[in-house]
Amino acid sequence: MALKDLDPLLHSQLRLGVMSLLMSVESAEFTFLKEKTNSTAGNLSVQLDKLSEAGYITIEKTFKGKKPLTTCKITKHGLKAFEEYVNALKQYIGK
Amino acid sequence: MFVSLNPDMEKQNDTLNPHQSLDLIASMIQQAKGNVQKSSFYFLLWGWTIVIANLGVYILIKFTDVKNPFIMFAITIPMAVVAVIYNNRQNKTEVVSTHLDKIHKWLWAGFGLNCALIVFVGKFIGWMVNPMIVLMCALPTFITGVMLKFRPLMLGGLVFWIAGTVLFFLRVEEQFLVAALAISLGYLVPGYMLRKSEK
Repeated sequence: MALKDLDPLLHSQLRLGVMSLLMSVESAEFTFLKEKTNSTAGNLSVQLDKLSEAGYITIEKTFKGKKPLTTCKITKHGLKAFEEYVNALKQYIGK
Repeated sequence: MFVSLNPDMEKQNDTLNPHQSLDLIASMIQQAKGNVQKSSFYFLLWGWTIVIANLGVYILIKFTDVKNPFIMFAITIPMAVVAVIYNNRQNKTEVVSTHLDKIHKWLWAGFGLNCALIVFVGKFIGWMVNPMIVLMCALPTFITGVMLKFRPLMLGGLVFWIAGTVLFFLRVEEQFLVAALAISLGYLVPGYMLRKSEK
């Protein structure tokens, strides 16, 4: 298989970083993801929207007092895509 | 950390090769590890509540003519409310919730339900409620110790397994004294040690 066959949605540093973090936890807030990936709020927000549009994650927007709170969670579809991506990577490396 | 990669992940697809992808996944999973929420508060809250309830019952049986000394255990009701309020507040301040947090929460919620049911069916088990609860307490305490990789709690679980068994052989009033001692060793001592390690 060729590198171009890897899921383009996951084959990007920030989106893959976010998905790997969400794989390991039950749910995570925007601030946690921002801190762990060391990204800017603007870029992270755009990438989260892309993952959400693809159905890989769910984004819940609530309020903590007066502050807006964005909580992200990986979906079953996202989990499957992530597993397929890792399997594809393994195949590629094993060639 | 993902030192070999773009330090800020701002760049997109252009530089990521499969090896870097795997490194990135591994480093992110590492980042998310070790996030089990702080739980010493609960061990101290319940430790003191149960120790006071047990000692209270012992004193009432030994030194007074009170008809129903077991009323001392009613203090667990307001304490359950305190625990729920504290838990809700904690949930609002945590920025991440791990799978372990979820297991931890349901393990203790299940134990709480078991305790309530044991009290409910107390008549059918010869009111051996205290030994049963102390014995059942061993498992969630031990497993919490395993999850937190905190040996004093694992030893606490062991204390409950031993004390819970011993309690069945004791007279009722002695059961309350020994249960208070077991809770002090199994909850309070590891609870204070855990609080120190959380700071």
